[in-house]
Amino acid sequence: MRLAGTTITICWLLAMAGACQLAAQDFTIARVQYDGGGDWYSDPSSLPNLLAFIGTNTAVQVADTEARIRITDEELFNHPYLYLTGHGNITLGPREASRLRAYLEAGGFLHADDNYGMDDSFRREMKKVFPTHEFVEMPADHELFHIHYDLPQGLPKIHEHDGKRPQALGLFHDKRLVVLYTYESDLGDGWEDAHVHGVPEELRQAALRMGANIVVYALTR
Amino acid sequence: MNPSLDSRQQLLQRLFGLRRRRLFIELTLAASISATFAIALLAVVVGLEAVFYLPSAWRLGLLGIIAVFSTVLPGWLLWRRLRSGLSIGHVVLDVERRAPELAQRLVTALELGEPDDSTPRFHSRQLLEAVTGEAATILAGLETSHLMPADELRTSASRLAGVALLLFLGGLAGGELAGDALGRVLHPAQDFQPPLRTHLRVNPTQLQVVRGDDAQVVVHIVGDVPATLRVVRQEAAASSMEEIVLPRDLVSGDSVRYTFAGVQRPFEFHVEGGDGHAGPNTVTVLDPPAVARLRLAYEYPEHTGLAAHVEEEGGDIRALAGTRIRFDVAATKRLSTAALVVDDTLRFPAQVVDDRAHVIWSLPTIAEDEDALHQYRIELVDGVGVINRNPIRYAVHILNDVDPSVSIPLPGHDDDLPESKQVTIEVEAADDFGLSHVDLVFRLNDGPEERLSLARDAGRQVLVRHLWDLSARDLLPEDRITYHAEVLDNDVVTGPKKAVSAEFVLRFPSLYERFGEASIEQRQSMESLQQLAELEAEALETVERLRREVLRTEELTWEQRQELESTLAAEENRARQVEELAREMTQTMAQLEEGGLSSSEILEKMDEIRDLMAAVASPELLEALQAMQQALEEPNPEQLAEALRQFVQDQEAFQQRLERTLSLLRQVQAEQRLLAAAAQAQDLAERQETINEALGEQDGSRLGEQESTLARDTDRLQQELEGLSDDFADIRQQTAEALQAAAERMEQQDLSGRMQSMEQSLTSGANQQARRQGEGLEQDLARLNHALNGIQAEFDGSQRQQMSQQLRGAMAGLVNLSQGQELLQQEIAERRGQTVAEFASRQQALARGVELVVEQIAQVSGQTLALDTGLATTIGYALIRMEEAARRLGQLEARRAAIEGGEAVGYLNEAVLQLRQSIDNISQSSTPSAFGEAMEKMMGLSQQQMALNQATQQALQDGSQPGGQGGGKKGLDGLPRLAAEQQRIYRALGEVGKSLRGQRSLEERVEEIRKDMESVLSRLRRNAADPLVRKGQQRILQRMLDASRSIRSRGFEKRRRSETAQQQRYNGPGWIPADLGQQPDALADAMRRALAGEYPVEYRQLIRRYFETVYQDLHGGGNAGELP
Repeated sequence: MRLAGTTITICWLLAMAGACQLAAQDFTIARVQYDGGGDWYSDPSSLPNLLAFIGTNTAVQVADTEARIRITDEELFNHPYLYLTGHGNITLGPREASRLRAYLEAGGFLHADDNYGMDDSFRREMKKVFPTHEFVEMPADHELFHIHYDLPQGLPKIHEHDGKRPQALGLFHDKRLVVLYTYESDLGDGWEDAHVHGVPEELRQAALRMGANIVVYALTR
Repeated sequence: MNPSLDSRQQLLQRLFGLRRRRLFIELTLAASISATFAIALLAVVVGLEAVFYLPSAWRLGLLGIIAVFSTVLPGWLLWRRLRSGLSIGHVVLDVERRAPELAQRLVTALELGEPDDSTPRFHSRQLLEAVTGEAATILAGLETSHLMPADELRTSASRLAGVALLLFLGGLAGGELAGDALGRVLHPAQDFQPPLRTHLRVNPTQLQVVRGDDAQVVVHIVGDVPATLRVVRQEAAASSMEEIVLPRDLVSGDSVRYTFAGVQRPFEFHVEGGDGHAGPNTVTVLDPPAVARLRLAYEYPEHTGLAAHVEEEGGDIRALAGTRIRFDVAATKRLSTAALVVDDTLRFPAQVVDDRAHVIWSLPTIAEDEDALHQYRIELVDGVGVINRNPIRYAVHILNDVDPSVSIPLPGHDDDLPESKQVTIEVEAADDFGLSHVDLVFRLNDGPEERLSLARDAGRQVLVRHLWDLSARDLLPEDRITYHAEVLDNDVVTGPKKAVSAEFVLRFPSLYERFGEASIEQRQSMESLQQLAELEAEALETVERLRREVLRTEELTWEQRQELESTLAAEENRARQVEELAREMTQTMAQLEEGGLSSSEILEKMDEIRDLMAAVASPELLEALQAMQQALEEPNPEQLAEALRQFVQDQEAFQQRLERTLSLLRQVQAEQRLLAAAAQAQDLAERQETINEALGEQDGSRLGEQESTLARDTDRLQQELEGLSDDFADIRQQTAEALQAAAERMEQQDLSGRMQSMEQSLTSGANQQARRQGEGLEQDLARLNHALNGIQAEFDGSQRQQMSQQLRGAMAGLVNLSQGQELLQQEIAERRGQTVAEFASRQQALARGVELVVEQIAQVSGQTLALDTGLATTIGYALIRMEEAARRLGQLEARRAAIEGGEAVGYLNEAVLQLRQSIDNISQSSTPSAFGEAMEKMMGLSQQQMALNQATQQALQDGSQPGGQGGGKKGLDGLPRLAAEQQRIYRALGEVGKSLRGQRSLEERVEEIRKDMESVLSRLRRNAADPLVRKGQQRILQRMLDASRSIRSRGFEKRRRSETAQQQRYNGPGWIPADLGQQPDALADAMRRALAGEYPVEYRQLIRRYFETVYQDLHGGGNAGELP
């Protein structure tokens, strides 16, 4: 298992990210609570399910529940991994944009998952954060798709929205992937309880594996 | 032959026989007597021996005496009786004495009959023969026993027998003593020790004890009891002896019990006392068996999922009931038996092999009131029956499977069902070993319980989040769903245990209740906002007063500083309150959205108002607050005055934003209430219709209850209309009157009274009457709904018209001002007519004119959000340029003023265009009805496109018929007609697009469809009958259907319903760009370079502020983030 030797690295990275309480506090994903009207709280069962999956199938020690955080919260830097989703509008104030950039530059990671409808506003707001950076599409042979689970097909498409193909878009800073934007895939729906969206188990598993890969990648690279 | 000789012979023979008998009798008699004497004497001697323990000589002497006496006496007696000899004569005489009939005959016969010829005979031979014959005859006739009786012999024999019997009885009576004495008497030559006076006997003589145990012996004492006993003990390994003297008081009775305490080693001992001695006796020591090693192998019940494990250390048990434990014991020695003993009452025999034993025990279940604590020990018995001593008692703590727990954290309280009738339930359950069932148990009103399975085999802890969809149930307002969660654990040992959560109630509220709650919250928000605005005005006055004071006195007193600080703190607090109100408004909006009590337009307005509120406390204000606080700490009065001036400006802006928000909020809330009233009327009509349809099919009393609820809600609506009428009096009198009229009409129609009457009809079973009443009510409610919709539409239209008029007026004013400015520019350029001062005056007048227009627009902005967002900025720039131009003119800088004026004209013209756009926005903004209309149109156009696609398909098929020249031509001939049809749909779609203005994504969709249509049209017009046309039309149709769905999904439900994706492969790029999308950030680099030097803090801040300003201008104004 490629991950077998990476646990120490994960611990170190978590410690670097300010989560020095690792010994007493397991890794969790922090859901970003943003303004603008979008439902930042959507897919409520997704993150607990993903955390449980990661806890079972990887060496990462995880908490049972997600954390919720605003960009302006003091404890932002205690969380190495942010997750942002929703269907609607997202706005970041100047202070939030600045703080998010500082966070990402300091080693943090943001996974934004388009739940349908947040594409325009998210791209717009990320321009505030990194005005000169562009999203680049990740090739299917990128390590992101193979780091823990081998996903030769790349990003799975979980839900149909506009018939568009799924895209894994990355925003790099200092050659490090700091933002992953999964567009037209809707991983979050795939992580939700099976009965919520009626996603077939095969697709759910694909979504969860992709989620695990993202977390492992973010924590080890 | 001589007869007398025969008789004599016979006689003599008889007499000789009698003599032999006599001899026998006498000898036997003598022997009997001798024996009698001997036995008697022997008994005497034995008795003496028994008593006196005679020495050997004595015994010999006595025996000799016995021998002599028993020989002499019979001999003497025999001699005396036989001393006369046993002659025939004596026999004859004895016989004649016993047989008198022989008197003299026998003697005569014997004496005379002697055949001695030498002796003269003086008697007759005959006579002699006769006597002899006669005597022979008589003698022959007599019994021998008579002639020679043995009476004495019998007597003597009896005596002997009697003595022997007595001796035997004496021997028996004397027992061992007599026997011993007899033995010693019979061995007279042997020396015998005289018997001891004290006989000691130890019991047992060989004793085995367990090492460390006490060894107890009993010393039996026979004979004299000595005063003390001495126990002499010698261990095998020790040369010394140990003497123990038992004290006198211990020695009493016939036996003494003595204990060797705590024997550790084997030893011998003997006991002495008086002349008695007992021993040596031995005590051997045995080692008891012991547990050398105890190993417990646990097998937990299967349902626990716990892996089996072995404990080598310790022996205490703490395990779940039902756990199977194997005890493996290794003993210190070979065992015969072993057992597990629980609580000294239960024994479980173990299987033993040599020094090993094992036993299996399944921990029993325990009742709740039973003690869960037990103990056990291992009992070992070795080959000689020695049991292990003081075995360790291990604790046994039997744990029963703990009952599961369950709770419902979400909602976690009684709640109202949302309009969607979907509620997210979270059931949190836990068990120590696993849950087998997690169920949601509920009942509708007083109906039967129903059960919904949420999870099976859910593990030890589970949080089930379930979207409970009750939409399929025919719920009516005020229906109650009582629910709780039940879980069963997976305990198969004692059976599954159940836990039940607290019970909660979901109530389906009426539309009115929903609106009422949201309305109250909104009103409170407005009141709070109003209060804040008033406080802000007061604060503004205070700060302005203080500012003037500073300007006048160049300093503030301590009290004034305190007042100012207090005002600043209050200001900050107000800013936070406004933000808090914005958050509350979000929740209220969610409630209204859930209840379907608002339109998409109102929701969008509210959304924007909320954003406005969030922005009321602008960063500038907060910065001004900070600057103000800093300035207060500085002694520099100029800086303080400047900070106060800046703060007053920001405070004014703050107040203006507050007032605008408040104004908008009032407006929107009134619209919302009006819309909600219409929705409630519609709801009442639908509920009445539902009741009417259910008449005769459902229980009358249940329908009666529903009708009663309907009556109550109808009353509430009437009251709401009256209240609404009052509120609208300040907004639009006509609408207020219309609402009042609707309320009065409701009263006249007595809707609630008729509903109550219908309720009575339903309850009493008068269905026909109820049906008539219901139909009438349904019609009246439908009319009410229609009327309210009309009022709402009329108000909406009039509002738009009014605002449009105001904006047109403003636009006209701007146009005039623009023309005036342009004219002024020309005159200034040509320097004709007036002086520069006069131009300046005119310029200022124009600027005032723009300010008036701004006020006019500001008035409209309090009613609508449809104004172009850039309008204020543009006019602001125009005003600045105009004021600058006036200032330049005042400084006689005509040329410079002309440039400023020229720019002002440009801004004014741009503002005119933006105003026009705003007017269009108002007149064409999407209302709920516009949305619905657009959707209907789009659906209709989709149908038409579908028919067109089919026709095109048919035409293309006809055109491609091989050999069918005519038919093919016919198909192609139809293409222009199809093109015309496509053109018509194209235009109609354009109209739909216009009705969707402001909805950018929908507009874009429509635009994309139109582009596709243009492409198809182009090909159709060129009679290009090819597959591209067909594919293009299919794409058009698909997009139209998608757009229809998208329109429908807007408004109340922002979240689009999505479907599970079909297999669609990720089709990412083959490589990633070398620069990873990172472009050099020149500005940030420049700032970093600029800040690299060692500058004072203030200067660094200035540098940073400069770059940030440039940065924000470059990247989206004030919304852009700060420079990193």
